Amino acid sequence: MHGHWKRRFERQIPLYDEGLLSDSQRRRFERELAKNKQLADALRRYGQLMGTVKRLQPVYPPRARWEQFLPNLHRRIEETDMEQPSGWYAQLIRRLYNRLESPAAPRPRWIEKAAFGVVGAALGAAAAFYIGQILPLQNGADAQLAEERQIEQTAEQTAAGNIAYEEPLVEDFGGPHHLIADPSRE
Amino acid sequence: MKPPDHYLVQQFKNGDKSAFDVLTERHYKRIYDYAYYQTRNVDDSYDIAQEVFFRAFKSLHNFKGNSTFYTWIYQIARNACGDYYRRRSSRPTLELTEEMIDQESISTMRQPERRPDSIVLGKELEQQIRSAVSQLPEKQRQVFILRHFEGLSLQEIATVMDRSLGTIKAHLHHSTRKVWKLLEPYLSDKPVRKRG
Repeated sequence: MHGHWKRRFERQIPLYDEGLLSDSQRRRFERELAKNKQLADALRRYGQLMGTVKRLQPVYPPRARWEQFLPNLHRRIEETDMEQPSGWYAQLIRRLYNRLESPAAPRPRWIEKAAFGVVGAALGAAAAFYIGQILPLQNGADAQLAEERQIEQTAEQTAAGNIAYEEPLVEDFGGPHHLIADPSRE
Repeated sequence: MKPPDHYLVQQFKNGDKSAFDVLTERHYKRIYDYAYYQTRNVDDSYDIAQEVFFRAFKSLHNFKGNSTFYTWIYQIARNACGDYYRRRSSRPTLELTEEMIDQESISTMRQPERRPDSIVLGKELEQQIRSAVSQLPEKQRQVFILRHFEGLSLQEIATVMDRSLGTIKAHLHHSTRKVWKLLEPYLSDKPVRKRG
């Protein structure tokens, strides 16, 4: 048999075994099978492989744990019921969530990516707003506060260093007439 | 006569919580098997199976019955396995532990029709099969497992994987051919030349 045809028929073995060949393909395959020993051997080996595949058994947990499957599940359900708030609003939210989020629904990755993108953009915008708008105001307020604090400190230091402040007497300025009439202007 | 799944689902929706226990008893082994073929880890498979039935319990009242209960539960299992991989961010480990090999030997020895020499050959072949399956791309691996290990029909696999029948046929064809190609040296009458 020519190499190309040999490969073509051998490639069809899984399809033949699954019953996925069209009627005409199947008839052609079976005609070839009847006269080609190599193809018959390949089909036998394929059957041997699939037989082994179907016999494969998983490894199970110890019997005690296996038999606790249902009790463990009950415990988990009860714990979650106790943890969840039981108000009407909580039930409503839970019902809405269950409607939106079916555990059996396929979860396309693009939805997750889009959600992350939206959240990321919102956080980025908030950060930019904070840096651009809030931070300068906050810095200005801080500078003003520091300045006021410095004035207060200076005043305190001056007051502590000086003699107690005394009200000046009228006589110190030349008597009461000095304030009423300035003789230089007359 | 056992009540059918859809009847038990309806019983559950009507408030009979024990109907869910019957459904769980009926299907948890196959979900564990599916998780095991995906993860190759006993503890993780058990936890995934628990998670699947927990999610099913919480959402069964929203199950509309567009598919059978067990294809619905396989869909949940598929998502739970996906979450498992995302958490792990890695493919399943390929190596079998000593304990697992011992347990597998026991399960192999239980088959009385097999002769001791064929057990040794069969054991090596089984390990090669597991290794070959775990090397398949994710979608092909899932189709292979659902078809050949779990015995689902192609239409059921299409429902579980939310893909067209044609896509499933293509995945099955490619995956089966790859596994066969990888394992053919172990099946031929010629001695196997091991790498390395």
